[in-house]
Amino acid sequence: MFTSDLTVNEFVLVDEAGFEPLGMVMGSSIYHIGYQQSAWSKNQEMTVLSQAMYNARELAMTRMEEEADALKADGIIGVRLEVKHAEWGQHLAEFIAIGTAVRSKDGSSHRTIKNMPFTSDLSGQDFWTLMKTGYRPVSLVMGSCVYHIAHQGMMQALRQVGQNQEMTIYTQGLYDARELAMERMQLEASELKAEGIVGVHLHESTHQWGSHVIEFFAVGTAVKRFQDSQLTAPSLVLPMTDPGL
Amino acid sequence: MPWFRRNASTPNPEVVKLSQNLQSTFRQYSAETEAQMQKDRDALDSGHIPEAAEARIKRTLAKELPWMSTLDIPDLYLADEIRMTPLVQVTGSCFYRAASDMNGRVYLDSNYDAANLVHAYYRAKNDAVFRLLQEAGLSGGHAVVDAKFRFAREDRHTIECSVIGTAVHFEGLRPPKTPLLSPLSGEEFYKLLMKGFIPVNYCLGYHWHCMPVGYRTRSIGSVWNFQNQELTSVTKRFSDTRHYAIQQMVSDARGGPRVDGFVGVSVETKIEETELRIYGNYGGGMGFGMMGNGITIDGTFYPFGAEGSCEVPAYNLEFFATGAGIARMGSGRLTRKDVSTYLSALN
Repeated sequence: MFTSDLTVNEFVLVDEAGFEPLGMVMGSSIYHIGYQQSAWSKNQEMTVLSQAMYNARELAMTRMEEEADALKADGIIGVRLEVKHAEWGQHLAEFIAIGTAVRSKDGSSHRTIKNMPFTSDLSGQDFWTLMKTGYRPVSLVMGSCVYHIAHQGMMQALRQVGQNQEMTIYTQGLYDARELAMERMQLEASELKAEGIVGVHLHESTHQWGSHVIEFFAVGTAVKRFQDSQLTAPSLVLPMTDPGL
Repeated sequence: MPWFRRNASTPNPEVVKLSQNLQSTFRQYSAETEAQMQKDRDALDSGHIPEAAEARIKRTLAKELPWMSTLDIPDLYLADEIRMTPLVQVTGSCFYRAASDMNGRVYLDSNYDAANLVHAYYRAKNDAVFRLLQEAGLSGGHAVVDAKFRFAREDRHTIECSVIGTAVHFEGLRPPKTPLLSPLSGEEFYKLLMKGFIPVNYCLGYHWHCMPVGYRTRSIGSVWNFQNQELTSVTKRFSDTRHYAIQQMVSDARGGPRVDGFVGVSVETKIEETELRIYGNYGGGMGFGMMGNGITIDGTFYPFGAEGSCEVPAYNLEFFATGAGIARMGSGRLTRKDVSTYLSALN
């Protein structure tokens, strides 16, 4: 007997794509995030915090993959990776990864080059479409960077009174943090020999570190081509209602 | 998984192994990193993009790194259908500070408009877009699709605009000098192309206005007024500001490629209660309402106190409209020739 959080539509399409659900899998990590003093007037990466966010997510993901491996799954779809800050402990955060383990019905292997199940945040519908376009998911890849954006000194602020001007120090800090997060995500995908990353989302959050410390978190599904596209030309169908109306 | 069922491959929380490549990206703050940051700030000041962004685009195009895209799976499928290839993810950001007094309050002009704040919104958006299109141009893209904008205001007067999208290439066409920009999803882009339109620009209409409210208007909103009554003077200002913001959005489209109309226009409005200090003696000064004659929107007069100023109740009114500018190129599904003709006209 299997468990899954797939909707009926997703379940049917996953079946159409040649996969069967095996069960819901989960990994978690309750992690104490360390402390790092930032320099008030400097832009800098908070490496201790970046490493903490990385380590805890990796632990949660690896534990989920291990559960799927125990089920002899080919992959995990619909992965949700959440971070919750615990109210019962200072600097404690709960990292949870949850998804549905699936296996190919024809016995062909879709595991990663590290012989672990693939992971993906794609829905059942997206998974079906991706497989039909001739690509397969390789792994959920992510990049994280916790960054301290410099504060302005008193003299600097006084010099700016009455002037319209760009705050280049903020812009550069934002660029630096975002580029580091994206570079890390691309490196993860590159190590798994993926060709591209689809559905990239960039999340910016201050968590509990105050307004000048931000985390850039980039996440997407790394993909690789494995066959020619089997999709036929689409026809234009316009719904009579728009979502949200 | 319970601890007693874990096998040898179970991760040890003490040692999470990141690859060497990944590990090398964690750099401690040093004189070297500071020098690089200064270089990037100079690049931004002189109208260029930071080195890391340029390197990412070049390495992705050289296939040293996998391509990445904000497009989701159905979007990618439709992109493939119209021979539109995603090249690289592109970004742009700008923090722009509006002129303020020593207490961080923005200046108002004689019409009680926050002209500096309005200017800051446009500069933040224009600079972010310029940087985004620079990245797209570097990749040889024809357009940026699925551009997601984020505006934020910090400390009352610092505006952040960030945008992330996917640079795309149309097979067999020469790229324009400045790539097109579409805030619409890949699916919406596809639908418009099927109907003879192409999204070409993202436009902003922003206006901020302060309304000093007189006794007459205040008395309408008083708890002792039991009548149904419209606040006509407030309604009129509200309407004028909205018209002005939409007009500004239309003007914003004029600087770029030809726009025949807008789709997906969203309008956000905000009204907040505030107090306005009006100085009677002089035209310059500090803070809100540095100029004025004490006349409010309903024509009533607030008497100046002994110190030559008065505190007037007011409403701050903010209008924020954005939309995707589209151009008509044909009456049915667009051909390569249609797009080529339009792009050639831009060069």
